[in-house]
Amino acid sequence: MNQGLAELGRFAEPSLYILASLADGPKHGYAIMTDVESISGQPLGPGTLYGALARMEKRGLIEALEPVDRRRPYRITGLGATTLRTQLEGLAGFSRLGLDRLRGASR
Amino acid sequence: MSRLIGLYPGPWRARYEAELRDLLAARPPSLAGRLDLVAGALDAWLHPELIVPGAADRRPSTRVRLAGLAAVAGGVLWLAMMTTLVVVTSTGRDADFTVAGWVVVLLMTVAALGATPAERARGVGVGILLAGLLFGVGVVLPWELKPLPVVPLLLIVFGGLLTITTRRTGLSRGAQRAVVGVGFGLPFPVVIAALAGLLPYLPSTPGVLLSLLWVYGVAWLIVGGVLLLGGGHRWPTPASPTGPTEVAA
Repeated sequence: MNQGLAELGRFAEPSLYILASLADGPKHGYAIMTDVESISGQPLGPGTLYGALARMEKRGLIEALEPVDRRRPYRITGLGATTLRTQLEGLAGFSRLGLDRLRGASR
Repeated sequence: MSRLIGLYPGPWRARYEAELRDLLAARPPSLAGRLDLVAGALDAWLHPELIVPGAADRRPSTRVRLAGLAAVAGGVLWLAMMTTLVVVTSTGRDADFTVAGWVVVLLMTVAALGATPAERARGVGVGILLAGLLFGVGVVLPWELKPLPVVPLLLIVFGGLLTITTRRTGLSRGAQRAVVGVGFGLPFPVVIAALAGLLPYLPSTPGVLLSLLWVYGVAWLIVGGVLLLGGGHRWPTPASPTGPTEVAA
């Protein structure tokens, strides 16, 4: 999974948000959806949510816990946490680089 | 909106349906959300390996792929025929659709037979043959007598062939009912009216007629497409009584 989430194609970005959402503890589908929407400011469709959950579960990035009522919580795994950290550090580096260049251009 | 979950494959529903249903009850989806569900169902059909390990390597048998091809070809030909029929009728000209009509029936018969499990193919084949013979008898009758035997047989033949083929797709029972109900239920009042010579007198625009007649062809395209994508063949374990039935490929 060192290549990050890119192999998930159109599910890569939703998966990053979902991993970030699960970073502070297990959540079920509805809680993930609302949390992702508040993080990203974009609606997350139910089909996209479950397409991403299925892919992440298959790759061992998240794991399903025992359902409570009909709601099944998901938890980030060690591999998922590592992948999230790698992705976010890459984005932070990219962000620093871009901001440095903007500052340099404005001098 | 929860009916859209029926578009997902059986084993996928067995794994995620309860929680997805709960999510949709808590947060009814917008139109965009519904379209997202349809796209998600298509994605689930295209990626069975997400739920069933090794499923992506499963391929439908040659027989079922032939059924899928015949269904798609029959659907395309039906759409072309109906387009021509409405355009020609609306311009006051006449056209002979006999050959094209028989080719459509033949393609759909091939689809239904290909989609029927081998152990039941003989019974279905005999049924189709009998319907075909009766239909042939009806065709040679004088025009005034045609509606008597031809109309019910048309309904049996066209509805039966679509129903038989749809059962092989592995779609949920609700989705199968929707495909057959809409695909068969909408166009056939128009077909009967056309057969009875009422089509030129109907107060409908060609566009309305065309869209009514098209749905049958679109239903065949959906069914053929699902069969070509693997249909029930990539999903080895029926997840529910309505799930797909695996037959050795």
